[in-house]
Amino acid sequence: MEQRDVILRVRDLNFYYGKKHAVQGVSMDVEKNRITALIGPSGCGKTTLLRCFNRMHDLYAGNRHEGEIIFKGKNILDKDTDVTSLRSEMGMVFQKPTPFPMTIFDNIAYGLRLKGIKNKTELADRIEKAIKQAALWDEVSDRLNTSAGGLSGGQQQRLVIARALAVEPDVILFDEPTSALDPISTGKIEELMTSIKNKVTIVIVTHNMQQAARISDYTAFMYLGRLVEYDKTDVMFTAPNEKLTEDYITGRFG
Amino acid sequence: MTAKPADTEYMELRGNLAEMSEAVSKMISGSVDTLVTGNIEKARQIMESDRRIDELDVKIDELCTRIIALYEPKASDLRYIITALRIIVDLERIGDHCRNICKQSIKLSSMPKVKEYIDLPNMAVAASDMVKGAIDAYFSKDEKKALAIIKEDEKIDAYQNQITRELITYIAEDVTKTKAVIKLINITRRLERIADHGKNIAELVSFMVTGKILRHQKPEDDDEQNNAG
Repeated sequence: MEQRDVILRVRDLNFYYGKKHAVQGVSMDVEKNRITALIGPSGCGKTTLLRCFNRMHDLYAGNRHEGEIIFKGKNILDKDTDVTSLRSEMGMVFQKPTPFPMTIFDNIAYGLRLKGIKNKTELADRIEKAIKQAALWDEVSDRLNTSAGGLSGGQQQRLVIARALAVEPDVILFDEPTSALDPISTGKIEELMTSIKNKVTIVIVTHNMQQAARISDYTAFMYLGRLVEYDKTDVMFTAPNEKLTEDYITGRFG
Repeated sequence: MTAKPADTEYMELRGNLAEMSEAVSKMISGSVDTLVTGNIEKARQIMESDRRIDELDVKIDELCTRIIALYEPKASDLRYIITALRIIVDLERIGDHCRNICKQSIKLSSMPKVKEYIDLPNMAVAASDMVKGAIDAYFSKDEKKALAIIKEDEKIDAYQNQITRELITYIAEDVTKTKAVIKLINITRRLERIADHGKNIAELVSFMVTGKILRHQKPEDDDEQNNAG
């Protein structure tokens, strides 16, 4: 394979929910400033893998990691990792929009203030920049001080992406970001993801295979906790190497 | 909306197809040129340029497969891609015909000239215009233009009949010219095939614009329908 700029290096990763072995010996390199999609049937471990990247599993007891995820030269699974700063470098967007119950402005200011930015002009500038990057500015610029709850589902999702972008993370993890949205809003989010990938690396879990095909550069297919095949998206969707990938992509199972 | 990520692919397709049709047009006029001038060096160059056509054929084929697999184009987008996939088959064949014309030109250059070539170059221009026009119609999605090109094929058939008839009279006059005359008749036949491919492309364009398939319909069918109405 040609020389690639790798941002996340996963090696022999195993993950257990108590006794359940959910991710089994996964090794993969995630390339910087590209969109990598994780696909596979329900329960294949794709969301579990995604959540390993920002140690989301730490929030629940009884979970266990083995292996390595190297990010910026460090194994983020090590005990001494500062998960708060890790999560600001690795943002996450969930299936259902999760705006905070506050104004649009404050939603985005929240993370910035946590990072210690107090200067009002700088705050306003960074908020405007983030909302513009998330292609939401034209729709909300005149009501930044109204509640984020008043936005439509698609707008809320873009607001959440703006909030993630504001703290300038290296990676944004998307967990089924459009499965609760209509096709038009989905299209907007997809366009948005393609437009921000020069600034941030994107890893997306999606049930919608066509979405993976449309927007991602690399696709990883997982099945029963294992990484079956991982390649350039056009290869995966035109001539996959594994029979199992072929069967899943052509709709023979899953 | 969601077609947006595919835009770069569509632009790449357009660029490659434009390059391929441009190269094919050059081959058509160039190959008959080498016949007229007897320039063997140029004939070899043109034969060599067919390689680029073959490369583009493969490239466009892969690109269209990728677009279909990744973006599932629908309706007019789907017809646009399917048409591109079929156009390249015609263009590639035209390239092969041109190669063959060059080959015969090289052989003819070492034989005594049967006659001055006047109609053959004209026929080549007409055939090349058909191909160029059909591709233009594809890019501008212009059905009227496509239909006009389909009609042009009659002109080519007339050229072929006339040139062939004339060439045969040369055999009657001097049997030693038979070999050369057969080669010239062969070239005429190749030009006629090239124009047919141009017509095919025009029919594909008409399908792309309207969604109706024009192939295998004879002009008489239209007349009958008109009379019945």
